Amino acid sequence: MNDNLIIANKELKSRLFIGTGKLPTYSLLPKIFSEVEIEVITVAIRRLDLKSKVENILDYIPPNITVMINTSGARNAKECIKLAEAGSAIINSKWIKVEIEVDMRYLLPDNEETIKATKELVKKGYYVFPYISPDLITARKLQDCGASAVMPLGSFIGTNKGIIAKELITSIIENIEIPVIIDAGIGRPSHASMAMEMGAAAVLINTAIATSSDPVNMTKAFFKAVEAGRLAFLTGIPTEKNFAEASSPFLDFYNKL
Amino acid sequence: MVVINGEKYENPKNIENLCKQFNLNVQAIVIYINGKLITKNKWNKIKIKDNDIIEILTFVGGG
Repeated sequence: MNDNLIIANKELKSRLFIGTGKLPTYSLLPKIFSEVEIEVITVAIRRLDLKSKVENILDYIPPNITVMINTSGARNAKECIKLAEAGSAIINSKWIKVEIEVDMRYLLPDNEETIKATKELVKKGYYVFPYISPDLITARKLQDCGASAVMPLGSFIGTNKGIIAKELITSIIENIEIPVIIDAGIGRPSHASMAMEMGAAAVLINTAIATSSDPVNMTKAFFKAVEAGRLAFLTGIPTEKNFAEASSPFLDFYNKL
Repeated sequence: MVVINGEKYENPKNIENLCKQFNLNVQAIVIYINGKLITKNKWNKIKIKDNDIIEILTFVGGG
């Protein structure tokens, strides 16, 4: 069965996207790519540190990997567009994860500025993946702007709390046409399975992998969880019931024994 | 003098000198001068003037 994800003019086999922040060393990336089927990663843009020798993350990313440029650090649509243009001037990628935050306690995205930035970036020919607070109305507006997907947060960035916004994300998945990629807060493989069982098109994991004691094995664990959840979703999740239902039918023969 | 990534330096006059001065990996960076993105095909045409504000950005790990 071909269950490839068609997104932004690409056909992907892997529904596990990974972020590269907080990794102890970028040299883990080639090991992850050699052992797990990863096709999409995210990177961010920062001022170059002129005073110390820094590793160039691009040296560790093979050309077959799609690089999604994250605009984190942008505080409004204008800054976001600048960062998108900066990133795509360095590498030949038009995939932009629009991330606009003004709240530093919860790192909540500004949905309003995100819509503005998405509209502009789509006009400029980018494939736009907006990171949003899970809100169906915002997701619909982004779909109308031409976003390639929406990326609602499961819970706050880096908290590992899983999908606390389950009902809200389900309302998005069930009511828009473009893919929904659950991003942020997914802390365990079981959370990733749940995301896929809910019908998410993919998940983006960063903290849970990058801060693990063994990021390669943790990526493997997430990959299996994503596959399991996806297969269960395609097969059909059984309905929940309030009362017991015996797995083997009771037969009236006990009194004859 | 010019300002490069927030600090004052002698004016390197052009981008080639700037790259030599900081031993920059040209594949990994993007340069803004006074808020304007300077695409690589224009690097050799640009003259850096005194008091210019230069920003050099690069990719880092991110989510």
